[in-house]
Order: sequence, then structure tokens, then C-alpha cells
Amino acid sequence: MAFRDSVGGRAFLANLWRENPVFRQVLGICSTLAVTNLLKNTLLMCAGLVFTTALSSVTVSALREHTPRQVRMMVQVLIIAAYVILVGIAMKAYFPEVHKVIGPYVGLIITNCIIMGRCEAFATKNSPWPSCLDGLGAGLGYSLILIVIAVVRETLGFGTLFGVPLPAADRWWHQWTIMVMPPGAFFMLALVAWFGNATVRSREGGKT
Amino acid sequence: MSPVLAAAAPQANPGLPAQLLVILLAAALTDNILLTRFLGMCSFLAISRQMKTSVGLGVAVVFVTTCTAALNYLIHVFITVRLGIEYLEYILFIVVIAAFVQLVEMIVERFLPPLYFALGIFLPLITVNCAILGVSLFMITKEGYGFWQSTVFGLGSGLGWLLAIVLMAGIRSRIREDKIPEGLRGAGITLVITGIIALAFVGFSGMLTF
Amino acid sequence: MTSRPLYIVGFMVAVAAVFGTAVTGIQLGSARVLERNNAFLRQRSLVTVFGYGDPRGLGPEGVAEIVSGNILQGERLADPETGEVFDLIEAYSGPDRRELLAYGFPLRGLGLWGPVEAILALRPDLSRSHGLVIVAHAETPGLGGRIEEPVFTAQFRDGVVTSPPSSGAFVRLAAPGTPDPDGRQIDAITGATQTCMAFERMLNRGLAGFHRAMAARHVRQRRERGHDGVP
Repeated sequence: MAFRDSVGGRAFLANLWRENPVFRQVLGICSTLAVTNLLKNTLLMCAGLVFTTALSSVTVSALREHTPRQVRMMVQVLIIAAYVILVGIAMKAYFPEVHKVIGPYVGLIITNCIIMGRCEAFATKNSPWPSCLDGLGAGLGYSLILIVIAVVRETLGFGTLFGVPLPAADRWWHQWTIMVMPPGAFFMLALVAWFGNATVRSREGGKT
Repeated sequence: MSPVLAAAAPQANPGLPAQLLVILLAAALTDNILLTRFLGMCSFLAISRQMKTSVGLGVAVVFVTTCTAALNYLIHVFITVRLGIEYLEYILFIVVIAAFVQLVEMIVERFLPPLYFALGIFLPLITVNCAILGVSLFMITKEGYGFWQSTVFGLGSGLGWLLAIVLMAGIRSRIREDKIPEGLRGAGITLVITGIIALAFVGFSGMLTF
Repeated sequence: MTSRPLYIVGFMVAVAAVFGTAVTGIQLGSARVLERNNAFLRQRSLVTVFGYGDPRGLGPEGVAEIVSGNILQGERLADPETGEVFDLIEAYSGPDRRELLAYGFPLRGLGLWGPVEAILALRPDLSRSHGLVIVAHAETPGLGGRIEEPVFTAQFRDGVVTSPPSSGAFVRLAAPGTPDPDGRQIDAITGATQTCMAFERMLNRGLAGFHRAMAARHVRQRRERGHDGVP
């Protein structure tokens, strides 16, 4: 069976673009968006998010047959919180400088609705391996959008990319302060969602 | 309060009620949790379509944030700090929130069935509202906050969230019939409006310091 | 699915116990690494703030050697007015500790979102700043968080005037490019005015207290020397 025909593979690919969590499902716009004015911070937060999404999906899926329905949300948040703490500790131990910069925001990964959304929508109904792929796909699809936003916000807002100044920035570049501030993130996300929705819709229209 | 922070506090101690009022207004307006920290966006985008549900969810959020801020403050002071297990706080806080929401759900279902049916799915959804955990996490980083300060901070943040969602629901009900590009409908246009409201709230920042 | 109350409670407790234990185990297991990291970060901050060189080029051993050789720590000063305690750091230009390079002290206070901890270094006559390093903060990355970047800290290397002012505050915040007649101006970061203002308050309070504490130390040293009979 080809990768894209398996349950997990299909979920993985769908989450990347066609069912992208950000502009198709409108999930997880929260905390991670706050750090999208610098590309480096965005990548690090996304790495933590992908890790947590994939592993909590696996764990929720593995426990799905034993979890009483009434407390499943509590069990899910507990699992997610445990993984996020792990990410925090790993970051503190191996990337102390990174932790210094985005430490306070790592904890907020717990509240990213994508993680719980995937646990609830997919992992409670499927076996661990497809759930892992589904979580990975959702995390990566989300990261993709955030990286696009971060690239635009950092170039326009700071005149740098990855902290490296743009060539001859002092000649032509002018700072867009709004891109540094929170409203810039909202406007960028709206534009990206517009573009994503438009392309997905036109492709679907072409198929049928 | 440590000597360092005592010196950082306003020149003359304005008294607890005045301080609480400032915290309340600051949390609701100038540091609006939704518009300046992006917390609670998911349910904000999904629910703000209708005024009635927006108000219902907003009130529920106010109630839950206030109570969980108080509970989590007590846990922070009497359990995690005392035992030196601050690293377990995420787990404890989120479980407290989930348990509290579940409890509220059961009580409302039992004693106020009409309200229960009106709120429907939104009640359990509060657990995944990022704003609530956010409040609990920020509250403990604000050093010098006592029990009342933390509770009022929770109340103010909840009220700020309620304000934002009600504003948005009002605006969305007006633009329902407008010509909006296909791909921008729903979440897209809501984000643009949120951005504009957020710009206005940036103007508030710095008016209150505490 | 069974949904007997006992099973539900038992399951919840079991899951909580398993994850709680796992997290605690990992936390305890990594405690030593974390401690070492913290110590190293602090040493590196000291090397940076006094301008001994690029910590990245020196390596962990080089950094530790400079800190233990050139820097004297441990003396605690109290501000006679507020009772606030300052941990005095004395930095010398060489391990022989003959020529005093600068004084330093930790500066703590509330930023916009949470506590900020910095080390401020002043020239031996306390007239100008020698350097600044932000040790910890909880500001928004990319906005207020930029106070820890050279964008903000480098201006303290140029020497902001920090002697007691005849009137007004020690230092004042202004938009970049504003004329600066007395050298007491600090450039704010665009988009992070709130954090910068909080930091300005911290600086003014810290400088006032430190000057008072140093004056008290000076008087005490003079008196002690007098008792010893040394002129």
C-alpha cells in the first residue's frame, strides 16, 4: 500500500495543505502566533509544537480503549502538559540560550488548540501509528503557515532574515512598525488564510 | 513582598481597593489577553458569529477564569512552591481547569437545565480556551500579587475577553450581508477586524501601570 | 466503555501518577545539567558585561577562569535609605586584581510582563555606565524581549552618564535620534516602549540606591582606615 493511501499517510498529507489546521480548521491561532515576528523564534516554537502534537496523539491513541469518556479531556490535557514540560526541560538543558528568549512562551504550547483538536478528532478513533502521522502533519502544516508569516513580518518589521540584515537595507528598506506589533500578525494571517482558501477552493472546483 | 518589589511599587501605597481597580482595568483593557497576547483566539474566531452564544461563552469564561485563577494561586502558594515542584505546575493548573469546567458543567446541567442547553457544547470547550491557562501562568509571574490581586487579575482578563468577543459579534452581525471576497469570508475577515481592534487597543497601552 | 465512578477516578489517578512520576524523574535527572547551565550563563553574563571578550571565543573554561581570576564577588551593600541590598561585583583588568576596571551590581525589577534581572556595570568613579547585560526576563520575544539584544544593551557600552543628577532622573528614555545634551539619554526600542519604560524605572531606582549604598561604603571604609591609623 502506498504511503498516501494508508490511513495515516492520507491524514498526514491532508493536514499539510488541503485540511490545513490554520486556514481550513481555524485552530491554534494562539500563543505561537505571538512569536512570529522573528523567524528563529518561530522555528523553535514550531519544533516544540510538532514534537508535542505527534507524541500526544500517539499517547492518546494508545490509551483510547481504556479512557473513560467522561474524563477524556482531562486525560488529554494531562498528557499534553507532560510532553510540554518535557520540551521545556529539554530546551533548558540543551539550548539554554534559546530558553532564555522564548522560555515563557513554551508553556503556552499546552493551550494550542491544534494539539487537543487532533487528539479529539483523530487520535481517539485511530490506532497509534496513523495518529502519529496525523499529528505530525497537523504540526507541520501549522508550522508552514507560521514560517511564511514570520518571513514577511521579520523582513518588513526588522529588515533582517534569521537575524541577518537584508542586503543594502539602509538604502531602500523602511521599517513597518506595525509588522513588529501584534496587529501585524492578524493582518498577515488573514492574507495567508485568504490565499490558502482561494487556492484550495479553486483546485477543488477544478476537480469536480 | 520583598524589599526590592516594595521599592518598585508606586510611591505611596494606594491601598488595596485602588490597586485592585487598577489591576482590573489594566487586565481588561490595556493588556487585553486576546488582543495583545493572542490567547483564546480559537473559540473567539469560531463562536463570535452570533451575539447570543458569544455572550454566553464570554460569561462562562469570566466565571471560570476568575475561579481558576483563585484556585491555582492557592495551589501555587501552598503546594508547588512549598514542595519545590514548580515544574509540575502546568499539569496541576490544566487539570484544575479541566476538573473545574467539568464540575461547572455538572452543576449547571443539574440545577439550570435551560442555561445548559443554551450553552451546549461551549461549556466543555472552555477547557481548551487558551486564555484560561494563560491567566494562571501569567498571574504567577507577576511577582507581588497576593490572593486578591490574582483573583481580580483573572476577573479582569475574563472581562477583557468577554468585551472582545462581544465587540466582534456585533461587528460580524453587521457585515453578514456585505460583499466579502470568497476566500476571506469567515475566519479571514474576522482576523482583519481583530487586527484593527487590536490597533485601537495598542493605543490604550501604557495608560495604566501597576 | 465502562464508566463506573470508581474506575474513572482510579484511571485518572493512575494516569496522573504515571505522568507526574515521569516528569519528576526527568526533572531530577536533568537537575545537574540545569544547574551547570545556569552557572555558566551567569559567568558568561559577567564576562560580557565587563567586556573581557567574546564568551563564544573564550569557551567555557576560559570564561570560568576569567570570572574566578579577575572578578571579586560576595560583598553585600545596603542602601541606607530603603534597606535594599546590592551584591557588589568588582571587576579588575587582570588576575592580579590591581587595577579596578569597573563595579557591577544586579538590577532586579518588574518589566512589562514579569521580572527582569540584569547586571549593570559602572566605571570605577561611577560617572558613566560600563556595560549592561540582561540575565533573565519574561518579555515578548521579538518585542520587549529585545532589551537583551545589542540593539539595546550596546548603548551602555558607549557610556551613559550615571553620576547623580543635579535635578531630575539619572537616565531618561527617548526615541532614537533625539538630541542628547547631557548624555543621560537611552534609546527606546521601536514597538517595545512599555518594556523600555519599565526598564528605565528600574535603572533610575537601582542607580539611586547603588549610589547611596556606595557612598555609605565609602564612609565606612574611611572610618575603618582611620581606626587602623592609615591616613
